Amino acid sequence: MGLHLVYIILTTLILSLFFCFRKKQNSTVKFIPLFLLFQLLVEYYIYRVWMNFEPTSDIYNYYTNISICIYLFFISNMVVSKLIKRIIYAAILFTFSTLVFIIFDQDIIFNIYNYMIGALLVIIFCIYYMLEVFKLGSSPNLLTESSFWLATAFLFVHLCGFMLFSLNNYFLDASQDTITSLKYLLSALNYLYYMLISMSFLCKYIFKTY
Amino acid sequence: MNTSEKELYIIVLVGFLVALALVGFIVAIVLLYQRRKQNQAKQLAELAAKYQEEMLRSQLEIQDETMKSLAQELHDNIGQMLSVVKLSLAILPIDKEHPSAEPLKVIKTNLNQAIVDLANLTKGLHSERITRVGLSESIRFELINLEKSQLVDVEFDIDDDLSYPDEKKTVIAFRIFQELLNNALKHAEATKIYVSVREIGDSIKIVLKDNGKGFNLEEKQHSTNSTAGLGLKNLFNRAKLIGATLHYNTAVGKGTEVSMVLPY
Repeated sequence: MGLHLVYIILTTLILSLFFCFRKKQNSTVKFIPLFLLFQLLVEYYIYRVWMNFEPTSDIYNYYTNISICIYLFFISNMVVSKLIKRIIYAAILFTFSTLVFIIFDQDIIFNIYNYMIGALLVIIFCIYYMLEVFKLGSSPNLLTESSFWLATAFLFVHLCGFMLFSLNNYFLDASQDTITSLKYLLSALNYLYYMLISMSFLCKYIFKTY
Repeated sequence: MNTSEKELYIIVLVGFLVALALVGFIVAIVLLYQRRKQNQAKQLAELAAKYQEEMLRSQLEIQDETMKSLAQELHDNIGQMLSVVKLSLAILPIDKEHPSAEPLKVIKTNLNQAIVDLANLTKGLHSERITRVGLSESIRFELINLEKSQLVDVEFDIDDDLSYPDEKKTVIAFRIFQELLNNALKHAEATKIYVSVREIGDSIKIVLKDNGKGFNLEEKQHSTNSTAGLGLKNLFNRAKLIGATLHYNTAVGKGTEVSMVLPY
C-alpha cells in the first residue's frame, strides 16, 4: 500500500514493455506486462481508497485471490510434467471458486485462510518447479532462464510474506511504531520481489547464454 | 509498542528472515547442482571427443603402418622380382633377326613401365617419403602419375616448396587429398580434375574441382543409412584432427569443389 509501490510497479511495467516482447523471450514472459498492469491498476485503486480513509481489506481479498490464480497460471507454464500441470489447473479452479466465499463473506477483514491456502499452493508448486530443474537440468545456464527467476520471485514473495500477511489481522490495532516497522518490511519485500520479476525478462541480456 | 505487539513483530521479522534464508538456500542449491551437472556433462563430452580423437589417431597410425609395410613389400619383393626378370631378359641370347626379338622388345617396354608404375605406387604409399619431399611435391607427384594414367584430364597449379611444419599432419593432409582424389575418380566419375595448392596468409589452401556428377551434401551427412556418408564423415574427422577445415561446394549434376585449409 502506498504510492511508492505504485511507482515500483510502474517502473517494472515500463521495463517489461521494452523487454518482454523481444524475439529472445519465451511465451510465459509475454504475460508479465499484463500481470503488472493488473497489479498497477489495483494497487493504484487501493491507494485512492486508502487515501479516502475507506477500508481496503475486501479489495485485498479479491486481489489476493485473483493474483494467486495468475501466479499458478505462470507456474503451470513453467513446469514440464503434464500431471502437475493438470493439478495446477485444478488448483486455479479451486482458488477461483473460493471467490464465491469472499463475495458472501460479510467480514471486512483480510481473509487469511484464503491467503494462506493460496500461498501454500504457490510455494508447493514453485518448489516442485525447482525439483524439476534439479532432475532435468536441461538449461545450460539457469541464470538466463526466465522461468527460474519467476519461480524464485514467487517463492520469495510467498515464503517471506507468509508470516507478514498471515498475522495481518493481529496488527489491525497496532501502534504507529509497529505499523511503520511493518511498512519497512513490506517495502523491502516489494522491492526485492519486483527486482526478481524484472530479472525474469532482463536475465537474457544481463547473463551470458552458453 | 506493547509486549505482545513487540513479540508478534519479532515473530514476523524472524519468520521473514528465516524464509529469506530458505529461499536463498533453495535457489543456491538448485543453481549449484545444475552447474555441477552441466560441468559433468561438459567433461563427459570432452572425454568422448578425446576418445574419438584417439581412436582416429590409432586408426590412422595402423593405416599408415599397413601402407608402409605394403610399400616395403612391393619394393623389396615384387620390385626385386621384376628387376630380376628385366636382367634375365637383358641377358637372353637373342639377336635382332630372331623371330622373338620384336615381341621381346614389347615385353621389355611393358616391364619397364610396370617397374616405373610400381616405384611410383610405392612412393605414394610410403609416408616417410611424403614427409621428406613435402606436401606440395607429394601432391604434384600424385597428379603427374594420374595424368600419365590418362584416366582423366588433370590440371594443376601448385606453389613450389610449400612446407608444412608437422610431419604427421603432412601425412594426414596428403592422405585426405588422396581420398578426395579417389572420390572424384571412383564416386563422381569425373573426366576433368583441377587442383590448386596455394599459401594463403598463414595457411595452405588446397582446392580440388571436378566435373563429376556431384551429390547432395546435406542428404549424405544426415543419412540414416549406416554406411552412407561414412567416408565423408571420416574425411571431416581427419581434417579436424589436424586442425584443418574442409568445405564442400557441390550439387547433383554440377560437379564438386572441395577446399581444405591447413593452418600452420
